Amino acid sequence: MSTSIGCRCALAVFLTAAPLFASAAETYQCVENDRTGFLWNGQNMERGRLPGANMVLAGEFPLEGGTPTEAVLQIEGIRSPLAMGCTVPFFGQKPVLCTSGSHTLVLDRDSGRFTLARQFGWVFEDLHTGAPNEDTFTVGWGMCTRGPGAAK
Amino acid sequence: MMRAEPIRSLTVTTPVPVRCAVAVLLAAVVTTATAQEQWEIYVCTESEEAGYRLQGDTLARNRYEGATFTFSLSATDPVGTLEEHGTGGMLYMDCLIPYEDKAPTTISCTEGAHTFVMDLESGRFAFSRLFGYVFPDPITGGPNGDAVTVGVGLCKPSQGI
Repeated sequence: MSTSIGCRCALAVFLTAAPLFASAAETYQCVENDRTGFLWNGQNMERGRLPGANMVLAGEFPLEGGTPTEAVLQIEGIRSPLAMGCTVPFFGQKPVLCTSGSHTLVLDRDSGRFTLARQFGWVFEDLHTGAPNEDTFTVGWGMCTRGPGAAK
Repeated sequence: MMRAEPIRSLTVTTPVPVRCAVAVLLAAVVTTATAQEQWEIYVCTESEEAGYRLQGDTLARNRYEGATFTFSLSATDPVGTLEEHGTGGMLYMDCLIPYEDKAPTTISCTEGAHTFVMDLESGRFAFSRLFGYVFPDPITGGPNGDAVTVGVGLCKPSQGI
């Protein structure tokens, strides 16, 4: 009753705008069903199929046009986790795009559908030889489920 | 005491068409010089492209034709554009150097669900298109039918603007 009109207006504006700037801390367990792209055969790169991997994506995720956030992707079998920047690429839609620069993951947080591009192979130079590095170069797809624990 | 002739009297005598021509010439020179200074332009050919197309609720492997496009990278700001030849489709991309200490000449540019990674020295590039499958179809709410692909190829610096 004693709240001034100005305060109520400010509160209303804040409550309306807050979801656009907020983010959520979440963890996703992801299973990559299949992976296709290019792999090295001696000196040549050729088209091929590779088994998918399990992975965990954890961090803050922007909500429908919020400010960019940070997350970490740990792919099973790869020693170092990937630090990623996450954005909502299309305003008003929920899917997020997280990229480390060499790996890009797009995730629909409602359905769990995801795609992952690994773009390290071929482009980056081998640090020892200076030749194209011999990592695979692929795109994969699968499903993520929201994990029990929120990421910090 | 005599007063010096005002300088503007000289310009008044210059014919209007000449002044217009000079102005247009100067504008053209400045514009060209600015463009040459600020953008590095590459012509890129995607030699191979692999990926998936939607089949029911799942994805089936498929083979795709690579594209040819022009990639322009700003020399002053972390942005680039990628224009596909033939379709005229243009992507306005945000760019970064993901491993500045170990790979200072390799850039990564993103727009929407597209990521373009390129080594500026060798011209090798990888281009992923990840819109398909993940984004909901506006009518059904299920996976959309766009392709999910990754392509590989080489870029060459453009000979001229």
